[in-house]
Amino acid sequence: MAWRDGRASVSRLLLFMASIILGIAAVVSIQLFSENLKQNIQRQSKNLMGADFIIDSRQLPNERVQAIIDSLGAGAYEVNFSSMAAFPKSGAAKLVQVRGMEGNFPFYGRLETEPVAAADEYQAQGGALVDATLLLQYKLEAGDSIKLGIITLPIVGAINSMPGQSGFSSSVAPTVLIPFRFIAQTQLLQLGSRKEYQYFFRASDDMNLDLLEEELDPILDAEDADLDTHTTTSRQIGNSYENLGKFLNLAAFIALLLGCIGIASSVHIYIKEKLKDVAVLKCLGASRKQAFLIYLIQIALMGLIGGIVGTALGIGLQYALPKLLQEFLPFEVEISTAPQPIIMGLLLGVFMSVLFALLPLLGTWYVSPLEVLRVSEKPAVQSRKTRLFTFGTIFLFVLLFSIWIFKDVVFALAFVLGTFVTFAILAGISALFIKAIRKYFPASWGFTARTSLLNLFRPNNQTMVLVLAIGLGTFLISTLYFTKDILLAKTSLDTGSKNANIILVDVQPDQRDAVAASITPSGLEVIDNLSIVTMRMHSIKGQLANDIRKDTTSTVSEWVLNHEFRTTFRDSLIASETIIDGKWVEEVRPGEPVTISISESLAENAHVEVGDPIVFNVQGVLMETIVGSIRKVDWARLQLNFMVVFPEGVLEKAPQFHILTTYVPDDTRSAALQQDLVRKFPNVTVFDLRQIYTVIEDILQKISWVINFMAFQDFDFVDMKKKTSLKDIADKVGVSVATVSYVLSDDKKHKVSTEMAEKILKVAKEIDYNPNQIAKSLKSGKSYSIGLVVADISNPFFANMARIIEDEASKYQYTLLFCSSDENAAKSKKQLKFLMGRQVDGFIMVPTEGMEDQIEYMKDGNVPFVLLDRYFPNISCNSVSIDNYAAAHKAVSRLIQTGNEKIGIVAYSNSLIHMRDRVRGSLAALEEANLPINEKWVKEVSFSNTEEEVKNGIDEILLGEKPVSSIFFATCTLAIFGLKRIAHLGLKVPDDVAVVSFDQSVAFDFYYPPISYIHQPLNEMGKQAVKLLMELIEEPKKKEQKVFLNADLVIKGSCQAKIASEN
Amino acid sequence: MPKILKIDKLEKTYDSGSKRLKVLHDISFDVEEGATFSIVGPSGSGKTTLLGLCAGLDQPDSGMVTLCGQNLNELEEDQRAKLRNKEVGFIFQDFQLLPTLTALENVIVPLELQGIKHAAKHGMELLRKVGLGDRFHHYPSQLSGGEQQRVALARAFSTSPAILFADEPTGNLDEDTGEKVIQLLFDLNKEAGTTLVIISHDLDLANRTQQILRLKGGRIISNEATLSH
Ligand SMILES: Nc1ncnc2c1ncn2[C@@H]1O[C@H](COP(=O)(O)OP(=O)(O)O)[C@@H](O)[C@H]1O
Ligand SMILES: [Mg+2]
Repeated sequence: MAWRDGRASVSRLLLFMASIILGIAAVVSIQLFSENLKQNIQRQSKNLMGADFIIDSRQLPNERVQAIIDSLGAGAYEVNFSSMAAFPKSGAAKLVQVRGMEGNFPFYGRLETEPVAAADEYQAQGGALVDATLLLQYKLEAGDSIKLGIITLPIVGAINSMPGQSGFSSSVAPTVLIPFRFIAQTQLLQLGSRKEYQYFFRASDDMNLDLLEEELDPILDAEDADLDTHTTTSRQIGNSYENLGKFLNLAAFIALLLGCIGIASSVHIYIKEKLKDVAVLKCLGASRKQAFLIYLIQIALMGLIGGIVGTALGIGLQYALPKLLQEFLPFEVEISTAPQPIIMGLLLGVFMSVLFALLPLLGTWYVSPLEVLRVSEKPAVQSRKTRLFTFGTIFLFVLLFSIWIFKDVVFALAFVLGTFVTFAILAGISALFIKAIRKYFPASWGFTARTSLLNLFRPNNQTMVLVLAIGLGTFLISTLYFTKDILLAKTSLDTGSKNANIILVDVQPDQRDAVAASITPSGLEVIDNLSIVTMRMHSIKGQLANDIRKDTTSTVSEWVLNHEFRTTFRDSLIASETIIDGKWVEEVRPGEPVTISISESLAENAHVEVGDPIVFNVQGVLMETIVGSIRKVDWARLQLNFMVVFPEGVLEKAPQFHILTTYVPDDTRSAALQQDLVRKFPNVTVFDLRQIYTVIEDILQKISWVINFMAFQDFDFVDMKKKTSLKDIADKVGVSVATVSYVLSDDKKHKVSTEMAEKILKVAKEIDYNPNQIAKSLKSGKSYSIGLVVADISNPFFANMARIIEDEASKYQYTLLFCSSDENAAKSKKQLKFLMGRQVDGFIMVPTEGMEDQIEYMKDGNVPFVLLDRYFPNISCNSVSIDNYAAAHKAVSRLIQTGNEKIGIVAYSNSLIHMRDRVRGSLAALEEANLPINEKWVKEVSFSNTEEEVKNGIDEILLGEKPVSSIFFATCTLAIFGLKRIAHLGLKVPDDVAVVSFDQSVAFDFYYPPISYIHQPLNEMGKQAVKLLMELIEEPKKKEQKVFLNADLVIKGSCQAKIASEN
Repeated sequence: MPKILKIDKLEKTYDSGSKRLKVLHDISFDVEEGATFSIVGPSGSGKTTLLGLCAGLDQPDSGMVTLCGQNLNELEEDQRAKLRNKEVGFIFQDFQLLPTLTALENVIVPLELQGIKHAAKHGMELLRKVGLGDRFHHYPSQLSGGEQQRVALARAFSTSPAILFADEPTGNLDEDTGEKVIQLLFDLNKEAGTTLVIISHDLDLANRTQQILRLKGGRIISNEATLSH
């Protein structure tokens, strides 16, 4: 019965179904997506670590630890320690980190070596893999040898990157990886030498690593061993993921709530319509329960169907979205379908539809059978209790669900309360509104106005429902939107600032300035310049370190006593530090007690508090200090962090060395810097951290992408959005678009009155007009790359040009990214978008027809770019091109001078200025010589069908009634196709037909006689373009320059004077 | 003859806004089992209100209704519904078929409400009897007024009720169609012995019943047997 009744009403319940389907689809797809993303990030952190979890220990594991390791089944293990390595070839020696590896590590990520095969072969070959930078420094290569202890091993390859290399936080020495079996032979590992054993594990899918950590860590700790899982690593990557997760869940939840609003309002309307039928049923003898159930089952069934469809849609979206958005996706999302969101989707469909339909459904309970006889004005009275009960249940459901989804009771409570308060306010407002109309009804209004107003509060009005649905919907969506910005700000925090990625250690005091001086000239900046003083603890709280070691009851960690602390001194905190106890002391004067600051972990391990004395042994000199403050240090921040920091005024005279850091944008610059430094300062060790950064930056980038994506952010940088907003401003203020543009582009501001300018700026701010954001996104950090868009990179002209630009750009340390637009504006638009995504610092482009809007847009956004070869006469922007008119004039004049009167012209049919100039220039030459201009001799061909059309054109002008005696080709491609046809026809150059081409092609060398051509000064053009662009990148608002260069005619045999050739 | 319906001193007042409107004054009468009974009176005289009270759709301010031996005042809403389901049939001026159900489904609604599972056969029989043997699967919107009223008739008789209330059954039909429906009504009454209570302002129709109750302004002005029987 319920089904029968519902069947016919499906169309009525479209809104209902749509609400459920969309709500559920959103929840399911977001949940799945979030699940997938989590896995992706986990995979990344696994790659960083190389294993699921690692047990490490400072000594050979004792029985208990070994038992744990055995029971878990280590897949690989290593011992690592610092040692000197010697290179027989050069006689040099260097402190390295030796890693003796047994097993096939890494399990995740890759051991990247050069040559690639070395990673797989070093174990079998019995050789060493050596840090790439080290090899570079000492000019070593695969095949040379390395001496470790008393054995010498062949170097099999260079290590470019290796998972599990947390280099910068632990020991700072380049890695040498050798098979474990050689460790004993080296005889380097003596009793008591400092070393670390690491056991690498792979976890099964169902293994709960957090639980494992919780259980094993204390046991291992007691044995001086430690457990690290990849989840710890991903936690260290930052809490960005957590934020993302919260945001995703918020989005899902809001989508669901919107669905619920849809359900409630559609069922409300639906049931109202059905009350008459309910009355009939009751009249025919249906009990209240029967009537209620009929509709309840109906709603539940539809909820189930909605749930199924929604879930399917959600899963489908999972698969479809990445495909649809491939272009924008900065990474690949691997898709899998977890069962939990699906089950949840199905249940949720039923549950939420029933719950939110409950209130209107209860109406069926109270409807009187008497309504069959007439519609009563009064709605059926519902008891207060049931209403309250229903609201209570809904509140509870929403609350429980949000707690489940946010996993944070306070946050969930706040969010749900916020929503309900909004609900109450909206309900209040609409009730007041209805009341107000009733009271102050404007009886004097016309019929239409009165009736429409009446409908707002007469029986069966939907005012309340609509106000609630629309209001709440708006509230929820705006919540989502605003949350996005907050989250984005949080996530981008780390990517925005530049982190040092090159660390120079062991810089001696007298080298400090010289080293800094060799960094800065190449355009790099010295980020940190720190003094390091090494020391050990002599006594803690008056107890000598030696005594503490012997004291079996002491809880002070062993490593604290043995550790060689690298300390620094400075007068302020850095970003990764916060004081949690005591007071930060900037400087101490002679005679005052030395108050130091120690990290939280050190305080815990050494069992000291603020005020406790520690005596350090600073290379033979004892120094009494007092713990002045305890700092919380965010070790995950990629900065140079210290456990012990001294105030200024104490260690300045102590024996010290220095650490300098800098940021290099790419491999070539890194290598150049390293070579330079090693040559000048052989003792300085250089660490390149870029590998680690790439992974972390990658993750952060992904996260901000997802946040943007979820909040419906527009990724389309290069679309026409901005055009309309300029117009929007103009419309709002009531001025012309040009005026707005003057004010916003700043340079012609003086043309507009100050008040008007202020007004325009205000409106611009209101509607959030900000073309500069493109420039900002480009500017956030230089990538030292340029995007080059040409028409076709396989075209010799553009290929030459690209090569010249590449060489020129490399002088500025820039690299190129190429794209071919194929003279297709849409395609080149995409390419620009792509290049922007790659964070290029600017563009050099050969524009195609139809790109004007885009160029205007980029110009407004202060994106640095230079047009090359072509320009648009109506747009003032930077361009480098030749004087095409003059060049073509020159070419055709030459043909005229050599006795040709009938001259054919082959050009492209596009409207680009360079092509038009060439045609105009050649026609002008003819006109000036008073030669006839025959339209049939001018052949304009399309880019897409060039060869065919050139062929036909040649046939027509050479085989027609009035054959021409010479041809000017407007490009070398046209000339090549033309010459091919001429040869095919058995005609001779220049006897039968003289030829001049624009541009040179290598193919011309194969012709005899060689072809005369207009020589474009490619070198000069490339140079100028790069120079202009570099200036622009430095100063985006620089005044535009249009550079025109002259092209020469290079005369070869293809256009000899007729008379001469006849002789 | 036993009385199937006993009405005793019924009073009914409606509140409309601030006004109180007394619609029925001191109404008392009986209907015998198997009889045909009509209530006539001008529009607004309280006929429909009275019917609602008789069938237990509404409750009086005072007075008592005894239907099939049950005092309606003593019954709960759901108990009254059950009683209606078993003993009472209805015909309304505007048919009141469920628009989302087919003719056949409409007919068997009362049976299904009783929990009877295989009622379709019985329903088809009833529809054939009212001349709609070929319209089982049509929706009300696909049927003419007369046809809809015949479906309603089939529905009213589906549970073989003891008493059938008809509120202006021909009010929305043209004369010929109305006549057919009325004829069917009387035939079924004869066959099954169902008591008929017909409300009408049509005196001709009323004259075909055995007893006529005249209402005016909410009061009984006469209650007498007709000559036809
Ligand atoms: N729900 C109601 N509220 C107020 N007055 C009503 C209501 N229902 C009926 N009435 C009034 O009661 C009187 C009797 O109505 P009704 O029983 O429908 O008369 P009839 O069926 O004889 O035309 C009419 O005057 C009508 O206006
Ligand atoms: Mg009536």
